[in-house]
Amino acid sequence: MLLPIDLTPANRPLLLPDETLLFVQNSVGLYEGKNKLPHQQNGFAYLTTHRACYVDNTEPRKYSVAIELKDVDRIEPWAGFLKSSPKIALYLHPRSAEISAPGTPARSSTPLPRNASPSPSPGVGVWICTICSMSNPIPSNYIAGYTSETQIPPCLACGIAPEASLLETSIQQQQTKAAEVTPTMESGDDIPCPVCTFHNHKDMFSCEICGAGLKPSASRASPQSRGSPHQPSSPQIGHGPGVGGYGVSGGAGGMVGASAGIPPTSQDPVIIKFSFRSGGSTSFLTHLKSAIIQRKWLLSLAPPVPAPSAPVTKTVGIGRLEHRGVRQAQTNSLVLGSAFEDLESLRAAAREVIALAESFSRLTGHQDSGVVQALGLVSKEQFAGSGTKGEEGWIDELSRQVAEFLADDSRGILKKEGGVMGLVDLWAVYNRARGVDLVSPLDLDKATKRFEALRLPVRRRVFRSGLVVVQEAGRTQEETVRRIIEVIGWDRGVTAQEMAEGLGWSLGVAGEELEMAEEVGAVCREVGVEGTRFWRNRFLEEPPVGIAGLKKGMEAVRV
Amino acid sequence: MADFQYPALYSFPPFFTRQPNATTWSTQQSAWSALILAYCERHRLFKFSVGHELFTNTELSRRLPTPAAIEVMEAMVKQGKAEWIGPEKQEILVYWKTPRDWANAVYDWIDTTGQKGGVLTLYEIAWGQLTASTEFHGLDETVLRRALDVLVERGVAKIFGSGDELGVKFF
Repeated sequence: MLLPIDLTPANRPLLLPDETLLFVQNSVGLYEGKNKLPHQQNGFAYLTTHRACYVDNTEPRKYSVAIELKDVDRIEPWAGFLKSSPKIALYLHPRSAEISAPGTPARSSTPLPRNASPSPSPGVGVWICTICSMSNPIPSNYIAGYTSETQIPPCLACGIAPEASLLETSIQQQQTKAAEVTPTMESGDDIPCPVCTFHNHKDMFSCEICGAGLKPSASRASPQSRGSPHQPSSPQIGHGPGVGGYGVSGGAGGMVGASAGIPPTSQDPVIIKFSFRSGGSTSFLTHLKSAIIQRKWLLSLAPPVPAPSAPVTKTVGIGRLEHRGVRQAQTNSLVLGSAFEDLESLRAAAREVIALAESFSRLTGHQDSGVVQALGLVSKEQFAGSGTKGEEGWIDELSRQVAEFLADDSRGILKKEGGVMGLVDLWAVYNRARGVDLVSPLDLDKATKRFEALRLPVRRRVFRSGLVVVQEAGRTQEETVRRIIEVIGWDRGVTAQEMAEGLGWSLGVAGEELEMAEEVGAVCREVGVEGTRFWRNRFLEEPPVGIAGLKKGMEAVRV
Repeated sequence: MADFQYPALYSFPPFFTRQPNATTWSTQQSAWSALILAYCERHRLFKFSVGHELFTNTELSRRLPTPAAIEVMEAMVKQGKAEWIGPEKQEILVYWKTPRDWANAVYDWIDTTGQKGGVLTLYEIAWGQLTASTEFHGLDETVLRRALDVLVERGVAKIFGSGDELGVKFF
């Protein structure tokens, strides 16, 4: 159920092939059943087409988990009330719950039919709140006499914790009630009146129509067997709204009678709840619903759409080349034609269209369009609400994405710039890579300010002159100075221009870094007619020459 | 005069630029100050002006800008290694030996030649035939005055007369 996930260097979930990000929300906590998961209380929820991921803020590598949407049986929104945040409950197939149990083998490849995987009720019953008379489910891990009062979750509606005795009596009542109610719910055991043939209810002792006495039916004969594990019937227990309307059937139903009071284990459905402390639950729900309906994860298993097979012709030479060109043009027009029919099909055909666009741009000689595909854009619209919280989430997410964009080795954006990049350059390159849904300079500025707080592998740095750059986090001043000195050499002065060329920096960065090196005393300047040159600082690197030294120098010939 | 051995820094182009870094500048400044003192001692110069050729390196075609040169000289004055001549701050008296050192040298000479109680003019001390072999022969008049002032303060000499006709009596 809760699977550990791989993260990118920027602490975002590593997306699988074909997986796309749908929605991101900050300040999210996780619950398993009724209970808060201790380490997953403050993080980001990432909803993708395949998974619902939780990425922890404090220990992302340790506590980040994901739920595969294919394991989700049902979803159910819980509205927030007073201090209780809105939640979205994901009911997982019990099958996946079993598999998650330790020591079990890998999951079988044959999925159970949907109707064969029932979703039994989570608890063994309900307790009725003494304050607001809300029917609350009794927590699955409640053991009478063992579970302390503090561990009992409070009432869902009013938030008042029940007394332990209340739960115990509720369980006892429900056991007896189940025993009593069960027969009434059984159907198909009607007793035909021997006189008028009216099918009377099995509990009736005399016919409702003619008043004739009825023979007791066979099913009524053995009350001891009721609720036994062999009982094939499904006792229907009237539950409160919290779990309302879920049939307890099959073996699980039998267990209600047989082992009431003992918490059910593997057959219990796993409920994972996402608690949205800063809103966003509505959008999350909308996206989740559509993701579950779309079932994108099935796509990876699907065979590729067969391409229209062109008749194989046995031409050679220029004729064949021309023929190939014509066929290519046909395919292209087919893709474009079908893709632009409407928005839905454009979305569906997005991959092919992007591939086509990239092949076109390769033809025109642009090099950097490859980034579009791999980017997996986040957009501001993915963040719910225009309030501060939504804004914060968007900035954080943008920050992560920019960090990822910069640190990505395959693109090597930052490497190409010598490890430092001006914010203005970054804005241009990043937006060029996005292509659509451009980021405002203000947002980017805010996003780069969050690098450090989010512990991303890049840092923002402001030079004395006010020039803002982003650079690798591991890049220290000492390292920069060492590289500068290496480039300068002992017998030569360099201009900022030469330094920029030598280290692949932009001119502004080179000038600023040189001044920084001067400030720490590593280099010194020479202002001549042809501009400023920077030299190794021989004033400080050689032992300072005092009067005595000079005098000695006059006597002994010194090099 | 023998050739002056310039320090290695003299052929280092940034030596002729006033360094903005404070630490670097203080080192650069003391290097300049040491160079000026050594140069003056070698050439027995007692006065040194802002426009001196030492500030220009013709080989490198570099020149220490005048404000920086003044700054160097100002620092020398502060350290007691020089003294401004006149309020316009264009020239310094260079104390490659301090007035106290000169005073000691003069008094030693007086002592060893048994001239205590005698009277000498300043010209005699600086340029007289008797002092031709001493190190203070040719001493700048102003520097000599500073040295004699030290002796007066110690109470072993007395200066009298006026204008160019200054005489000094040693006790």
